[in-house]
Amino acid sequence: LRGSKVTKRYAKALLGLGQEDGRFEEYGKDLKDFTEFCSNNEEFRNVIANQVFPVEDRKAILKTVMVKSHFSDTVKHFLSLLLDKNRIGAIEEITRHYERLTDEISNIARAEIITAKPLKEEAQKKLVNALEDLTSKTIRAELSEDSGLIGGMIVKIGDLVLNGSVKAQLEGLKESLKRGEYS
Amino acid sequence: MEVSDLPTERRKHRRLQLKGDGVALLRTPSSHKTIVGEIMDISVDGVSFRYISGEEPDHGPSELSLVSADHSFYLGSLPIRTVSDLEMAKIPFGSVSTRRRGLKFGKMGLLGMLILFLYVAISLCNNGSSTAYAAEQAVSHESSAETVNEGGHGNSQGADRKGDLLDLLYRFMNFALLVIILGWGMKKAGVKNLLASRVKDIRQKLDELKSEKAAFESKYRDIEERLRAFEEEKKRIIEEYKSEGQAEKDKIVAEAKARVKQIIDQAELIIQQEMQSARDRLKQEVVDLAAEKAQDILSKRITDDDQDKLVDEFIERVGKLH
Repeated sequence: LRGSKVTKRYAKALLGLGQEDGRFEEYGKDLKDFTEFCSNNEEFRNVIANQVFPVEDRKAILKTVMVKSHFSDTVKHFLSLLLDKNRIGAIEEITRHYERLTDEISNIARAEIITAKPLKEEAQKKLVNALEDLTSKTIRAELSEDSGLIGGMIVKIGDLVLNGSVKAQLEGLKESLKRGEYS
Repeated sequence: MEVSDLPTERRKHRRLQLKGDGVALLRTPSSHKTIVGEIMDISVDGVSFRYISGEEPDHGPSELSLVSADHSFYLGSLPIRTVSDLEMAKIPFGSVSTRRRGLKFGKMGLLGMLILFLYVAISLCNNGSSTAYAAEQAVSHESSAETVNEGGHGNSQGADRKGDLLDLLYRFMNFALLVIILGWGMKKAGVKNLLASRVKDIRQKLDELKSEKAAFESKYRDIEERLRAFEEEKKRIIEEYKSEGQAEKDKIVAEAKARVKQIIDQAELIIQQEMQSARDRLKQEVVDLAAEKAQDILSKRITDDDQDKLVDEFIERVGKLH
């Protein structure tokens, strides 16, 4: 919980800088790219996040990567600060929170769409439109598949969950039978 | 014990010498032997007799019988103790000897004592002596101190009967004088009044005792009455306790019955609940199995068209939410 609060604070600080110079979306993209780089280079992430190694060495490694990157100077300084404060290990969480904050600013809602089978593009568009009408926000769909749903889909937008899976319907039917609603 | 070791005869009373005037029969029950001898002398204290013996003398517990010479008097079963048994002379040409045995009379009753005195008196008469001697013996028995004094004269007076008679006369007079003085003294001291007073006291005491007896009898009756009342109270209390016990028993039985009913009802309720619970569990298991089976079937049979239809329905429902 404490770490979460700290990451939110760092995310808000970077967003504040981004809002001042109007480049918060660019900073968000840089953070996302760095997070993806860390995910793809696990050893790099482990080295810069591991406090066993001297901080100068870790900063030198980070600097090497930063030099070759296209990241803005603000983001580079931000990452260097995270390393100094030993918060570089929480970069994924900071990035997620930053995206959430930028989504709120941009009136964007992220919809997690889980389907039993691959969703057709036309259906996806219809669904996004329906969700945008429902939330009055721009919907960014994040698609995934789960065969355990049997059929149908589940949509999660923040705290809102719309469950239209066959599995959920079966569960509902089962509970109704147990309650004796059909006896 | 040897004969010579026996204690020497020392009778306190004067002896009367008898020569052939009486016979002594000494019977020893333990050995069934009887010695017959001639009485030599006798007093109120003891007797000695001589006898002929060819055996060792037996000094065990014996009984003495005395018989007068003319067989007119017999005195039997006298308690005695042998105090001497001396050999007097040996008869030539044999082991037979003449012996003298001294005996001391044991304790006798008053009657036995009187008969003994009588025997001594009869013996004296038979021996030509005055019967006053027997009376003198009786007086001397009552006053042992006087007898002891007179005992100091020894056998010299046995020869002088006249002197003895005078002595007896003086004693009699002395005794008579004593009786007169005693009677006069008693009269003077008002013994009669004393006795009358004593009688009065005794009567008074008797009356007191009678009244006490009456009081005690009354108390006894009172106690008897209380005892009767106590018995009745006891019966009443027992009855009361019995009735209380019965009531308590009834109460306990009623409580037990109620408790039994409660337990049975509770048990029935628990059974009903358990049955319902079992039914519910069974139902849930059936539903779970049915749902699982349905899920398997749907997983196998659902097609892409079905999925598209479900998606469309879902989108339609989302659209209706707006």
